[in-house]
Amino acid sequence: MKKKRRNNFFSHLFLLVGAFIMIFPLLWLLSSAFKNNNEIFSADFSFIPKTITLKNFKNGWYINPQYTFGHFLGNTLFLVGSMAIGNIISCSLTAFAITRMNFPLKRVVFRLVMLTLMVPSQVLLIPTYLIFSKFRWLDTFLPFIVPAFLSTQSFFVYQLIQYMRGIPKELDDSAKIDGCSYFRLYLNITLPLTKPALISVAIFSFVWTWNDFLTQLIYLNSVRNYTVSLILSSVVDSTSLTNWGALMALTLISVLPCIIIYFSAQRYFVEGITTSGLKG
Amino acid sequence: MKKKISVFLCMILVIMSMAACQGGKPTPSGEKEPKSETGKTETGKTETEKVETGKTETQKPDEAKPEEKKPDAAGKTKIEGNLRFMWWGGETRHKATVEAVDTFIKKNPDLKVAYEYSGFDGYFDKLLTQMAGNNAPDIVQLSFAAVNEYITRGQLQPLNEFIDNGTLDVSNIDKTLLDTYKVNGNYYAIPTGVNTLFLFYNKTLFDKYGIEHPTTGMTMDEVYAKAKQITEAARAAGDKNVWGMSMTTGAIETVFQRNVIDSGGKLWQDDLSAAAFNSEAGAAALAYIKKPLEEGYGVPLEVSAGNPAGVSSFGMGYAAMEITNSTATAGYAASSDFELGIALAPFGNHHKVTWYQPSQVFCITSQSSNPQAAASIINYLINDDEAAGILRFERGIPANSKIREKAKEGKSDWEKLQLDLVNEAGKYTGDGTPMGYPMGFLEILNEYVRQEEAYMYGKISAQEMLDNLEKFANDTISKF
Repeated sequence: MKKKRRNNFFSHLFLLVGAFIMIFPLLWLLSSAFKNNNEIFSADFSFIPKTITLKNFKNGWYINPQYTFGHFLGNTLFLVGSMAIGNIISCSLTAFAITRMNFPLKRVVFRLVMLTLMVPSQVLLIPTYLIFSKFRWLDTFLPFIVPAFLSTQSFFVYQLIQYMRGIPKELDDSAKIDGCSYFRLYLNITLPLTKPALISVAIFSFVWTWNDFLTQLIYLNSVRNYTVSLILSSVVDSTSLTNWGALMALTLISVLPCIIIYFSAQRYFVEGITTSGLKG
Repeated sequence: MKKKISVFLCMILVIMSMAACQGGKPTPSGEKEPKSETGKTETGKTETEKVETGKTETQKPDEAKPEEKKPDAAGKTKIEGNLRFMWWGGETRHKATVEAVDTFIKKNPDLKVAYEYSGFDGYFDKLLTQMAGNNAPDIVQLSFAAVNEYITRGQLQPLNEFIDNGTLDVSNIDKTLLDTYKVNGNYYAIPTGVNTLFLFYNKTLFDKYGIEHPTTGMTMDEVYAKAKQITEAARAAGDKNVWGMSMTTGAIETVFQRNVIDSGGKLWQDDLSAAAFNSEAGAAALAYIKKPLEEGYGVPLEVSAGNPAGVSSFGMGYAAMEITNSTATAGYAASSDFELGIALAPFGNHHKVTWYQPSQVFCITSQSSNPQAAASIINYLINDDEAAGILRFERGIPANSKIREKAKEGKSDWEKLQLDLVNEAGKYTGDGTPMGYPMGFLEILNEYVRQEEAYMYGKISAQEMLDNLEKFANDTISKF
């Protein structure tokens, strides 16, 4: 009994230390956002600022000469939101078709979807750029949103397929006997049962797009269309002085949505991954 | 059945990879296309549409087309059209540049400029992708070392036409700077500012040990002697954390090049087609860089390795002197830990040479639909007093000597000193003028940093480093 307790004590200590190491950058970010600029990198480091200031937030909000930071937050939310919706609709339809319907070359299609999962995105960068430039979609959000509605994120398709395979086919059969069409089968039977997986798809889509940098950098040109990650990087330059305080304040604002979403939907998030993984 | 599927999949894979290659291939020829008339108008159309949709979403591309045709007909008298201007920088540079160009637009209401600014990270990835996609901005900011690659790929517009017709006034720009990017008699890049080498010194430390401050015009040997003197004085006073100077590392184009020239050699063949530093001069230059370390008055590598990221040994107060780019001035001047002194970097022992180069340059891409208007914007940015007042030192010390004189007004002491020193440095560019940059210079620079580290730690000899670097440099250059 005593031994067990001691084991518990050490494992807790170990976990606490590990958790602190993991969360340290975030704490540092949090405290820096409220510090004066010259205090951020000063040698006598402390988590609690000597003078708590909100001026970083004010400076940061107006860091761009043309638009306020709210404009870029709006851009990002629009982009992230529409991509999440697109991914949910299109990927679940694809997954439904592959798991529940029979059509010629179904297995080939499935394997092709899996194949695209294995192509590194860097390889596709220039060809897709050329395609979208021919469509004259550059400097709009279309290169992000349209593919999302066409189920190009094969990882999500794969995840949903694995989950849907776990839903008993008997439910379909009984619905079909009652004269249910395929679309109603999808809408009224499969989709409600897939909810946890759909939510995890939404979260993944949200976080990935929110943190994406390279594709946004390449497709969005005019500052009006910039997203949060682009505007944050646009004020960092190795050859001139950077207003780190303002940058930290903005970064804090920009990680908040991810943190909030993750914690509020954590239950579904874990459920979606584990069940789809186990039953697949 | 399974076999069939796998064969089928293999075929798809092959087809896909072939398609990918085809997608890539048209780009090199596509880049040259804009030079012909058809290419020009075509890219012109896409660009205006893009700018238009970017500005007002409701306006349809069709409405933008007739507007675009005007500048072709009457471009010379009136500055109008839609342009895209791309640069990298930090917060202050963005603000200053936007303000300066906006002032210019106010005077030319028919002109529209879309700003596309970002940080340095990813800037060249983006530019390369846009060039390949035939969607490059009209005006781009490039770094000194990247220009030649873009010239060789035919992606930049020769500027002679605009210099000749008076749009672009380069009469007040130092000839040395301008000629850095002269290829076959064509100018491709307009320098925005000047970089040179400074000798920064810690006045507080020099005064503490009662040693005379270094001055402009000293030779390298004299500076080394001073470094030795201050190290000995510090040891005598029991201070173990002060050395005469910090080690200059990763400086192939500045300190290494200056040393090579001083010893009678050169970095590259005259046509920049191969390395030329693997010579006695190169070995002497390397020995000279390592000398302070070996003689005990350079900050040891294990000490400088412990500095926080982005802070030099000089900034930490370990080194009494540092030879580095003039761009470091603002950062050091802002430090309150010690009093800063600046002089020109020491000349060579044999020749009065220093390093004097453009900091960044403005270029017009060959895909530009309206290079005439682009040239007039560049002209405003580099020659106009008003623009100079807004831009200040955002892109280095102005390359325009007239502006430089005017810029002194209302400046702090160190800014004035910086201006004086740059004017002074301009006098010593003569035979020691650094050469241009070969293709793939940035890769060579990275390899130099790696090799130099091994050399500094004593893992390879100077000759081994020169051999390795020469092979790498020649391989890299021949790839293009």
